[in-house]
Amino acid sequence: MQLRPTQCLIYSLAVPGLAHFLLGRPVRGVLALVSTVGLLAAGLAIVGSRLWYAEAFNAVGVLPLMPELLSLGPTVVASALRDVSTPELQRALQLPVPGEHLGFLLAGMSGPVAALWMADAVWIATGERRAGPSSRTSTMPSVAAAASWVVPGLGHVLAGQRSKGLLLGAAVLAVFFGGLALGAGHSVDRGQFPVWWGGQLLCGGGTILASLTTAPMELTSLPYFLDLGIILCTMAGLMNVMVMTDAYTVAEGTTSYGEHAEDGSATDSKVASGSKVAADGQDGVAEGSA
Amino acid sequence: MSVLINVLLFLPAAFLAMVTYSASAAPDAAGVVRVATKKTLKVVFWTVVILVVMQVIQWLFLP
Repeated sequence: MQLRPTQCLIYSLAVPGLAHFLLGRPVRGVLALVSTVGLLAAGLAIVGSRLWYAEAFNAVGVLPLMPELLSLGPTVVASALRDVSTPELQRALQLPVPGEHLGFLLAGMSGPVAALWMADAVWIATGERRAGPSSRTSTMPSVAAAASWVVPGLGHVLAGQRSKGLLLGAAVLAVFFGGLALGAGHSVDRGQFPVWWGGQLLCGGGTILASLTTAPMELTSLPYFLDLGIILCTMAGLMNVMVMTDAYTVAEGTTSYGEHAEDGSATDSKVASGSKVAADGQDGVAEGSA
Repeated sequence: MSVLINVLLFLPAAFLAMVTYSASAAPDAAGVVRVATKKTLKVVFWTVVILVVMQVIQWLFLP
């Protein structure tokens, strides 16, 4: 069955893995479903309904800003099943629960994981057809993006752009750990700053590390630069989105740097050419043969 | 925070952000740094312009 990219996104949002099933990739569909729902269920098993208390601080009053929404179907089902029936119970949800940092992390990770599976479905539906086999790298685009989510820049390294990957990784991690240091380790804490945490999770590896190590530390006094640290960690997450996107397109083999790479006068030089045109440069030569 | 600390934090943060923003401009690190440097200078220039304009407005209208 053939699907358009929009259909892939809608189906994957509703039921993770459904687009893979319809595209004739049942194994990947099962993996997508199990990984996404499994992470959400594992997180909910630890924090329970407190997950929604932490996401009560939202701008519009209706739509909570929680990363789990990227796996929309399972999150909506879990939200419908939560128990916040009485005011007493709602007040109780404000109290921390043991191991909540791990629970928040597992549940939150279900969102980015679902998004990566969506990207994989879109690649199966369109990219494989658009780009000829000779133009691709050996790394799948979704794998490159996932690698960059865990370790910023790793996707580029896997796709053959080693020096660029190291540079981008260093840039993202410098901002992230700089922010973490300024906040004395408390810049990344979903229980305290849930909305910011949603952006920080886009720098997956750093947030996983911080959520499990520094976030549970006792906060004895408010760090002077905590606000700045929170912003920098969130900024690192948003920077990593650009890194992941570029890693995806590099692995996809649809990036053309053209003549602008020489004078730096333009940045948006991606074209869906279906062929990988490597500009001159040490890595460019390497990637051209990848 | 003093102006010096603001500048010390703003410049590297802006440059690193521009590095990731320019990721798609070149296939290698040297090319990305070249593009990012130009973009950072442009951002800094316009930031200074905006700050100067705001200061002038303050002098003119806020005694």
